[in-house]
Amino acid sequence: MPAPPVRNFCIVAHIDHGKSTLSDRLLEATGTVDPRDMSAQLLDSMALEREKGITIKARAVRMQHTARDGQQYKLHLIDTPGHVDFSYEVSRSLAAAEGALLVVDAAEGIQAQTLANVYLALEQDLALVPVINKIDLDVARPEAVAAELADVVGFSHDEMLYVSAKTGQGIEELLQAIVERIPPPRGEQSEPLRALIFDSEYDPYKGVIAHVRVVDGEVAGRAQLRLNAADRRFEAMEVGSFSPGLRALPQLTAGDVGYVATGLKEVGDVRVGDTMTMAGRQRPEPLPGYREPKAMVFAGLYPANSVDYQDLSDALDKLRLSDSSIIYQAESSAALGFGFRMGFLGLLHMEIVQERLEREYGLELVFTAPSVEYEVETTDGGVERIENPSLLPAPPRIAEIREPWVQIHVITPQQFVGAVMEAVTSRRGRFERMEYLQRSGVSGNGGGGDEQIRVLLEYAIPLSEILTDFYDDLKSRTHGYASLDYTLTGYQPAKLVKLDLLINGEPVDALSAIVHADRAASDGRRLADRLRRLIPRQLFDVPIQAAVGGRIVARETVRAMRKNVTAKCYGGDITRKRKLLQRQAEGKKRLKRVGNVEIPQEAFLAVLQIGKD
Amino acid sequence: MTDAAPLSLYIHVPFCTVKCAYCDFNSYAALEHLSGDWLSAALRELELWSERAAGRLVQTIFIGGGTPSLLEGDQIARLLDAARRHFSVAPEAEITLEANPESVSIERMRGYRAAGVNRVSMGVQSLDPDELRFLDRLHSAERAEAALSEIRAAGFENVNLDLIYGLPQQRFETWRDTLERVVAWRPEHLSCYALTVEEDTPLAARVAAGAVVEADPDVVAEIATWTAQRLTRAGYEHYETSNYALTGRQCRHNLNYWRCGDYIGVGPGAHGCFDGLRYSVVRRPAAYIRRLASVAGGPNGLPSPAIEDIEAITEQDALIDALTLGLRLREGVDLHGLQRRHPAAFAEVEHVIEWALRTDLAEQHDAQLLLTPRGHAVANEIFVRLVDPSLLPPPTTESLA
Ligand SMILES: Nc1nc2c(ncn2[C@@H]2O[C@H](COP(=O)(O)OP(=O)(O)O)[C@@H](O)[C@H]2O)c(=O)[nH]1
Ligand code: SF4
Repeated sequence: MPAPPVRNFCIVAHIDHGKSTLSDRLLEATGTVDPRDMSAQLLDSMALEREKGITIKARAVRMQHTARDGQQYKLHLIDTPGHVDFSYEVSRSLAAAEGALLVVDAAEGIQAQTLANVYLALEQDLALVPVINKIDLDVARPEAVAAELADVVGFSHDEMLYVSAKTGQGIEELLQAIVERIPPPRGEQSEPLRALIFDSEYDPYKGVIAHVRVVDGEVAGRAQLRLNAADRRFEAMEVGSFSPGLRALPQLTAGDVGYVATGLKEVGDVRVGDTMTMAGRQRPEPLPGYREPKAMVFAGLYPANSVDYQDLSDALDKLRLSDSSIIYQAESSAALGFGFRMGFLGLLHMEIVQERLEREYGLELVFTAPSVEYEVETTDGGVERIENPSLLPAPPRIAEIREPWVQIHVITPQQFVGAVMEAVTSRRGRFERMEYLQRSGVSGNGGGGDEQIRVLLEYAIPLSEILTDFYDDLKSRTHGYASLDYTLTGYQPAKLVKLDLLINGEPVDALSAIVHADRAASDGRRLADRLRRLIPRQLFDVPIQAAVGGRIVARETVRAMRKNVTAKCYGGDITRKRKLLQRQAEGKKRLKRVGNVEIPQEAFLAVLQIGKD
Repeated sequence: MTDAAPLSLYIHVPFCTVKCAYCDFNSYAALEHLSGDWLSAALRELELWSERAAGRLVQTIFIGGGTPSLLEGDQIARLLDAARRHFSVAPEAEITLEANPESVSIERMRGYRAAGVNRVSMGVQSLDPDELRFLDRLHSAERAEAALSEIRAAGFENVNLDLIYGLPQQRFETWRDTLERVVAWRPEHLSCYALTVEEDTPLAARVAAGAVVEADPDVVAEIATWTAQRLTRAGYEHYETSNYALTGRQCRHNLNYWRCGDYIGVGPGAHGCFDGLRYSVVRRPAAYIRRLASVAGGPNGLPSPAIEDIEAITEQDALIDALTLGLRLREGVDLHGLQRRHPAAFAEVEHVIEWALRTDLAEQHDAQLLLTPRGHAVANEIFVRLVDPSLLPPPTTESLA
C-alpha cells in the first residue's frame, strides 16, 4: 500500500486573529482529536502563552484527511511562534512547510507583523492560502479585507477563503484548498537523510526532543545520527509524530513532519535551523538557512534577596530546557550583588522570561533596564561588545561607539500617520517609505471611508530607542490601531555617552545607561527626578546625582523621614502590633541596599522611563 | 497571699451608637439589644477566671469599648461587683471607664462613681465641627465641654481626653485651637493620636478610592513636635509616644501593657496576656454570648470557652514585645534585666541597639535604654530592625548624613 500523500503547512496570523481556534477546528474536522477532549486551544499549551495570546513553542500536528476525491492525505500543521521576536524561528517553521494559511481577522485586516511573515513565506516560495476569518462577526468587513489582501499580497479575489473558526463555516472548503493548492513535498526518499530542526522541547526521559521535517531520506528509532552545526552524535531513542501527543512510529520518511527523541541533555545542542543527518562518514550538504540564535536585548537579572542566587541559577538552567533561545552568564553588581546578564531575542521574549521566572519559579527578582549590545572600537584598535552599560570603557579609550539599528514597519490607519511620524522622529528615527494598503476607501459596514484606509510606514531607528516605551506610545497615539514589526539592519556609529547615577555619593552600576550625548543632561535630570520620587524617605537625607563623564548634570534630594511611629497600641493586642512590624520588615527586605540607602526594585527600571516626563 | 507581679483586668463593651469611619475596634452600632445577654456572659466569664487568677492582685481595671458609657450605672456596678467578688482587687486600684460625650450624663457618672470607677477616659477627638463631622462623631465641641463638667461634677478627679490629629487636609490652626481649649480644661491626662488609616475601614476605602487624601506626613510630624512642646510647657509629661499626663496621673493600666505585665481580657474581642500566653476572645458578640452559655473551659487550660486564638510567647517574641512596647515609654527599658531574662534573643538584636545608640536614635543611662525625641518620632524604623535584625547593614558601612 503506497503511503498517503502529504501536505505540510503553517498558519501565519496576527495575535488574536484566530490561529489557535482555527487549528482546533481543523483537528476536530479531521478527527485528530475528539471534540469532547478538546481543551480549548490545544496547540497553545503553556498557560502564560495562553494568557498573552501568543504561541512560543511551535508544535506540529499530524492529521488524516479524506479529500473529496476519496484520497487519504496526511496533513502536517506546523505551528509558528506568534511574535516578532521569534522571526528566525518562524522562518524555520516556514522552511519546514510547502504552504501557509494566511489568516486575517475580517474585522481588523492585515497587521504589520503578519505582513512581515508573509514576506518570509514568499521568500521561501511557499504556496499562500488567504483565509479571512471571523466572518460571523457583525463588524466583519470581509470584502474590504479581501481588497486589502489582493492589494498588498497580490491575491486574486477567487483565491480568498471565507471562514469562521468559531462556527466552523468554511472549514471543509479550507481543507480542500490545503489539499489542492499546497504542493506535495519534494525530496528524495533514496537520498541520505537530511532533516530540518524547527523546534525542540525537553523531556526528562527522552532528552531533548527535536521537532523535524525530513527533507530527504528516512529516519528510524536506534539510528545513529548527527547534528551538523552543533557537531553532536547520538542514537535516536524514538521517532514519531504529534497526533497531537507524541506517538512513536517505526520511521519518518522524506516529506514527513514529526519528532526525533535524541536522548541529549543539552538543549543548546539541538538548535533551530540545524540539519540532522546520519552519523556515517558520508556527509550530505547541510540544509540552507542555519543561523546562530542572536540575542538583541540584554538585561541584568538579580535575586531580590541575595540568598536566592542559587535558586535563580537553578531556575535559569531549567528554563533553558524549554527555551533554548535565552542566554545568560553570571555577573556581579556592586549595587545588586551576584546575578546574571541575560540576552533575549527581543522585548516580548524578555517579558515572557521575566514573568515565567517569577510565576513558575516563584522567584522575586530585580531586573535592570534593558540594553542593546554596543560595539565599541577602542583607541588601540580593538572592538569590544558591551551589553552592560556600566562596563562601557572610559571615554579616553573609546574611538567610536556603534549601536544596532533596526528597520521598523508600522501599519496604521491613515489619520495617525502624523502621530506615528512624531513618535519615531523624536526617537532619532528616519522615515524611509510609505505605502497605501488600499487603492481606495473600500470599507465594510457601509461606514465612512477614510478611517479604513491604512498605510504601511517604514523607518530606520536605533534599536535602543524602541526598547522601552515605544510600542506603548505607538499604541496610545493610534488608539491601539498601529501594529509594529522590526528587523535588525546593522550597526551605525553614534554620539553616545554613559550616564551614571550616584546615590548618597556612591555610583550605582545597575542604574547606568548609555544615552545619546545631546540628550544626556536632560535624561539625567529626568532620571534623578524619577528616582527621587521612587526612593522612599530614609532616616537621613539622600542626595541623588546624575553624572556624564564625571560632570554632575542633575541633583535631587530625598528628604529624611520625619515621622514613622504607630500611634496606638491596639488595646492590648500585642500580637497584632508585632505582626504589623513583621509585615513592615518583609516589605523592607524587598528593598535593595546600596550603601546604607534602601532602594525599591522599581527604581532599577527607572532608566526605562528615561524618555518620559 | 498574693503574687507581687501586678495583674490588670480589661472588660470589653462592644456597643456604639454609630460606627465611626476610621474605627477598627471591635464595636457594633446595631447590637444594643444584646447588651443584657452580653452582661450576663461577661459576668460569667469573670467568674470562670476567678480560680485561675487566685492569688494575683488586680491593680487596674479598664472598661473599654466600644462605648461603655452607653451602659447604666447599675450595669457597671454589677460588672465591678463581680470583678471584686472573683478577683482580689487592690483597694487603691485604678478603675477606668471609656465614655463618649453624647452618652455622658451626670446621673450616669454618679452611678459609675458609686460603682467604684475612679477614672474616666472620654473620646473628644476634636473641637472643630468639620473635623468632628469627618470623623463621624456624634457630639459637638459644646457637648464635649459640658460632658467634662458633668464628669467633674460627679466627682471624678482623674480624667483622660482622647484627641486625634493628622486628619486629611489637616490644618495646623484647627489642631492648635482644639489643643489650646482642651489644655485650658486641665484634664489630668491627654492621649493625642495621629490618625491611622486602618485596613478594612470605610476611611481606608475612601482613601483607596481617592476621595480622601491622607495628611502630608511632614505636616503631621510638625504637629506632633509642636504638641509635645506645648503640652510639656503646660505641665504635662510626655510619658509615652501618644500620651501625656500631669504628675502621678499616668494611666497605670496602659503602663502595665507597655511594661509587659499580665492582663486578663474579658468580653468579645478582648485580648489577654497571662502565664506566658497571649490570647484573644471571639470577636462577634453573638458568638461570645453563645460560647459562654456552653460548658466551662477554653483552649490550653484557659478558663473561658470564648477564647479563640492562643499564642505561646517565645523568648524572641517576649524580648521584641518588651522592646517595642517599652521603648514607647519615655522611661525606656532596663537592658540588663532583658539580657538576663532572654540572653539568646538579646544577642540577636544587640547590634540593632548599638546602631540606634550610634545614630542618636537612642541613648543609654546606666542600664536604662531610652529613645531620643528623634528616635520616638521614627520609632518604627528601630522596631522593624529589632523584629528583623538582618535588615541592618554591617556596622562598618553605616554613616549618618
Ligand atoms: N466571532 C469569532 N471569534 C473568533 C473566531 N476565531 C477566533 N475567534 C476568537 O478570537 C479570539 C482569538 O482567537 P485565537 O484563536 O486565540 O487567536 P490566536 O491568538 O491567533 O491564536 C478568541 O476569543 C476566539 O474565540 C471566529 O471565527 N469568529
Ligand atoms: S465611638 Fe470609638 S469605638 Fe465606637 S465606633 Fe467610634 S471610634 Fe469606634
